[in-house]
Amino acid sequence: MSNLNRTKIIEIIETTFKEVAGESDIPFPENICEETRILVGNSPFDSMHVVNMIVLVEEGVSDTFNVDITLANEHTMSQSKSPFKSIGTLADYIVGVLT
Amino acid sequence: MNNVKNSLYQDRIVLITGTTKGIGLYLTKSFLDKQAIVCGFARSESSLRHERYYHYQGDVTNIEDVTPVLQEIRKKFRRLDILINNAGIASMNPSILMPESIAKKIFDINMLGVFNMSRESAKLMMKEKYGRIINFSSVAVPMHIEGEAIYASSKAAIEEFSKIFAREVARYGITVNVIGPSPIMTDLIAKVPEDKIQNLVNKMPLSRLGEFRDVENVVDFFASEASDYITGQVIYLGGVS
Repeated sequence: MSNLNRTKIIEIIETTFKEVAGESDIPFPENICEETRILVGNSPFDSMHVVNMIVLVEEGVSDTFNVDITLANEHTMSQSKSPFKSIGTLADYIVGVLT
Repeated sequence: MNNVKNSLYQDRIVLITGTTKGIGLYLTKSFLDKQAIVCGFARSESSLRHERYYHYQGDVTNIEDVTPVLQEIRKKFRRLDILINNAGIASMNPSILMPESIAKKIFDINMLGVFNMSRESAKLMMKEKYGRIINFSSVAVPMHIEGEAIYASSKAAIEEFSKIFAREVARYGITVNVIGPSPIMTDLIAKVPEDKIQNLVNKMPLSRLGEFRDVENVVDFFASEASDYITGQVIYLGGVS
């Protein structure tokens, strides 16, 4: 997995983040970056927004890399450090799956 | 969506489980007649040949079988409008004589199967902000029929799952409703003695066996675009409540 692909994954997640927030008229930070929280902390999302994000990111990854992944699985749901914590941690997890 | 006059399901993508026989096959033909595109999912092969019918073979209890079907539908049609979780099994036995293996199988196919299909389908429906999920319960739930403790429990679980799932996905324009058929002459009750079926029918306000068209009528109601304000509901056939 090249840096180029990680950049692409970040792009997919950031676009999805804005899409989900926009659809629900949720104000989101001007500077969305790797540290932006998806889950808990200062995340603007509730659990169903996160579900929507996960589904759209899976779709984005499938369309971009032609690889079908399932982000909500036994592994990710049981990890003490959730990969859904922030845009960066989710990108790291996806890079790991695709590598 | 381009609904055409007299063709309620024109261009709608419908996924039905258990399409090789009984109610599932009947509903498949009904949706095809109404111009829908139907994807069937069943353990066995289908003899149905139709230009708008796509058959997928697999097991609803196995997520490894379920996920690829939904991915295929996503790639082919980009959306899914209606899911009908028809696949199910029954076994009539007094609880004391019910083998654990059969009890587990009933719960796996009836409940886990509905969960797997609903979860994966809702993911596809969410993006379009539209979806109709229709699950199957049974009058065995409100009638508390002796010998159907496990079957009725699995169907009661489907009802509760449907009511909660309906709340979870409501904001995405997805409705989740349940039909509870009365006994209908299908393989599901083929091994039940005739007098037992008759006794059961006699206890229903509308004392006759159900027919496929009775199921179709309620499915049409839940599946209709106009039913966007109906979710988390259970409708039993035969006047049972």
